[in-house]
Amino acid sequence: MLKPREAISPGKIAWKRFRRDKWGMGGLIFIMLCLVISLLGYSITPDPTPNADRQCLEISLAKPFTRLEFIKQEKTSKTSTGFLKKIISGAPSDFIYIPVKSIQLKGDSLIAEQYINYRKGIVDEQSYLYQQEKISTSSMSRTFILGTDRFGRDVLSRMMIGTRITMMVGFIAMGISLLLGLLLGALAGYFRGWVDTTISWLMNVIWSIPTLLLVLTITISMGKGLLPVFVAVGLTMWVDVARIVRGEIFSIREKDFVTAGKALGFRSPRIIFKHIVPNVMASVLVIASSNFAAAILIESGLSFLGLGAQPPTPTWGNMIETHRNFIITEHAHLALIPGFAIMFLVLAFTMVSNGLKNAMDKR
Amino acid sequence: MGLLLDIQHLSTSFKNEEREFVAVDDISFSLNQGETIAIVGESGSGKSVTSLSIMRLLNEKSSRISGNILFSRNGHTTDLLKLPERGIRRFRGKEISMIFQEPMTSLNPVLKCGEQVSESLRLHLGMSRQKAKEKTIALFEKVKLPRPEHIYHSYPHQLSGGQKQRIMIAMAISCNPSLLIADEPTTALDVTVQKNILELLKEIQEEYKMSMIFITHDLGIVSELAHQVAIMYKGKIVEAGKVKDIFSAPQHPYTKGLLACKPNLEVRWKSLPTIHDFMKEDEKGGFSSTGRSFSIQDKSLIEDTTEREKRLEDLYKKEPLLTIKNIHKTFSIRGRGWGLSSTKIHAVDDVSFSVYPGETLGLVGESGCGKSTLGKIILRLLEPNSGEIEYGGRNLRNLGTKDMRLMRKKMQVIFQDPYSSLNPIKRIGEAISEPMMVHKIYPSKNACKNATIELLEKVGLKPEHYHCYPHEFSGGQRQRIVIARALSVQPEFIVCDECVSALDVSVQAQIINLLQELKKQHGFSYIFISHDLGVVKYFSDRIAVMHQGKIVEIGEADQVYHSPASEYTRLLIDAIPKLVAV
Repeated sequence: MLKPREAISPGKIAWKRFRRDKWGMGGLIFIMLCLVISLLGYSITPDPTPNADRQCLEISLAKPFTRLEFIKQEKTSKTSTGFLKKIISGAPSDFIYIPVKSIQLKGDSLIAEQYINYRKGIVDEQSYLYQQEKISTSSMSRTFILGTDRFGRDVLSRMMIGTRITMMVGFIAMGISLLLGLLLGALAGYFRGWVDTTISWLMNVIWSIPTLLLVLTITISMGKGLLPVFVAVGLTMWVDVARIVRGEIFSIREKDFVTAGKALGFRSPRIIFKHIVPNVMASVLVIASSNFAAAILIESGLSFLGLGAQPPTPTWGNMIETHRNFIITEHAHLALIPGFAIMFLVLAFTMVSNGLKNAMDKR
Repeated sequence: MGLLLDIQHLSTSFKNEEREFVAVDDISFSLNQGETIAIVGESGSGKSVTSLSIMRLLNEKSSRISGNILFSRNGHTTDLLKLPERGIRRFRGKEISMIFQEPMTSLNPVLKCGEQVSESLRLHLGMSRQKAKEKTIALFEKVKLPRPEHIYHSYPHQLSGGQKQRIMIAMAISCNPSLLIADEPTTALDVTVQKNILELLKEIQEEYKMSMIFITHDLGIVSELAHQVAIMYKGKIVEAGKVKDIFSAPQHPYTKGLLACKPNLEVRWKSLPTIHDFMKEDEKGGFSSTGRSFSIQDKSLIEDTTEREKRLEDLYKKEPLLTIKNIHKTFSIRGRGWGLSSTKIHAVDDVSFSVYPGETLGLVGESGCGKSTLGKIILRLLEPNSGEIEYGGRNLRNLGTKDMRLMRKKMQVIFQDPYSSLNPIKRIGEAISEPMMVHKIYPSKNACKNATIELLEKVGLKPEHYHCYPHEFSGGQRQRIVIARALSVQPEFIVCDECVSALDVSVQAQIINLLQELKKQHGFSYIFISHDLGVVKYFSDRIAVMHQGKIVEIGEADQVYHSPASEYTRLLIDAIPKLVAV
């Protein structure tokens, strides 16, 4: 009866414009990449142990692209982990990895030139009864693309798991702030009067408290860990969202289509949620992506101060903190890599936010 | 009387990422010293772009101007398009100055009015502060501002729209320019104010022997002001010539249409002529005349007065559909600063009238007279301070929320601004069918959809528009969508709040015809609110004239127009720009 005609929705137009924005698209692709990495998590990390925490002090501070030979020694107690759990929280390794320079088989024993300190080239010869001690007879090699940290852990794996923590903090903090901000902003904007006065007062009070101090207080009173970070960041950032939503609703509720809705006999909830709120979403999307960036920064800062996720959980912030002393040594990359990661992700979100703002510019 | 401005083959185009859009397409005209040319066209015809091209005020990066604009002064001829940016700045303000449409935004709100005028005097003529002030006050007297000394020290927000436009004129003539470009200078103003501003412009133009380019969409107001007229349509000048010739013997079908589609004040057409009655347009953009003509001698096209009288007589025998009694509405404006009491504004002051079934009551008045407030009160979108609204024998003010919601099906409203009347993120099909679903007018979703398509066709749109979004439509089409949405709940009474004021005259005629047609089919009663007495007179059975919250006069449309009882109505009628001949 009706041939469906290609209708150009405002969303499609915005997307078309956004796609032309090189920087915005670049940012979006980078974010997508980070998202994929954090979703796949342990299934793609070179080191799939929980928290990418396989310490191997003998090979600490190896340079990027170092290639090393290992022999594996089976552990006495084995654990079995399901596939899903492996992706979510990693599986403890069943082997001990021993870095070796060379190996030789002599009868029933394996003579290994074993590294005591790879960095200084100190080697020790050791012989193993490989059958009794459950040691593999051939060596395997591994490349540490980003090198190892001061505890001999694979930096690449820790960065990847750190991405996951960062994205999680961003999403949850943004979620909390959006939920609170949308609700309170919409209430203030639509009902005005004393509701608006109260909510605006609350917003101003929170606004006037230095963000980091408030976050510190909440973190300290709730104890260290990730949860207080979510709560703290979410609770401070909703003010931005609420202010934007309130202002937008102020202007949209004066539009004739809202009055027309009333005249057509629509109930208030229908007008608010089906007509007004969807029109606010464009601005909310913009503020959400810039809040995401802000949340990442706050989380990194807290981790750096030792208040966020606790070791051995890898976060970009505590990776910087752990290695900040190396910044003046030849191992500066240990602090610089997470530093640049934070910078690029924040930049990516800012660019996406800017791109969205331009693309959805009201005609 | 030498040649001042000679425009040859001027073309202006804009380009964005996707395409190039030609706004002005190879136009040529010339203007002598001391002469006025009116450029008339509807929105999108390229008339404003023409003026901005002359002033070189367009963004040079996104626009391309070609052709020649030769400006002669004291024997020197300069091509304005060839000048560097620094060179054109010497012409702007001094040789060529401009007045814009919106007096509210043309003045800087944080500077005193007088200083804004004296600034350009000091800048262009190098006057001292004291001398510039004296000259400014003299200019204020010239543009007939009351108490010029006082206004010199006032801020823009303290003045009315008309006064602000006078200041803009004073600023424009301050450096004795040889060319004044007035871009829709009276469109944002009330008719009575418009009349005064037009008189002032004519006076000043004659006294200073200035040339003037007067840009407007309203052919009616140029007949007394301009020497020449150029009619623009889609970037081209379709017809140009002396005012007298154009008005008495228009050649181009578009001009004919434009002249005819404004409601005639003497006779009442059965349906208003539209541009399409005169002109056919093929796909390539060429025009041809349909050969039809509308003559006021042709009795078949004109409503018979005796028939009308009889219809009205029958109308008023019935019980009134809507009666409002002693409606009062005040708004309080909080005083600025501490300890200042709030002032009250009487927006609607003791208004009573009735509307009969099938009647169209025109409500006319200038901006701020309370007509829109009254419209909203009748629909209970605003609560009055006191008074009664009786609709179909029931007192609306006593109805509960639920009963009122049911009542809303019967009474609908169409607003002025077709752009803000539609939710930008809803497909128009949804917009029209949503009220049907809410009120469960049809048993199934499919039935709603079919009814929506029927409505779309009824208001002159196509079924395949069902899935489109509002931004894909022009203003006139959007207003049709708004009308369809109002009809979706099958109302019997519709308040049209300035519903054709934002539209071009040719589109306005089409919408009025549509409303008229719908009324015939469904027997609606209308309250037609407008500031345009001409349109109201054509469309209404009775007219109520509103002034400062009060109804100053109410009566049969022709009677009010031909023998107005109140002074204010007479003033309004006088201010309507009159076409010399059709």
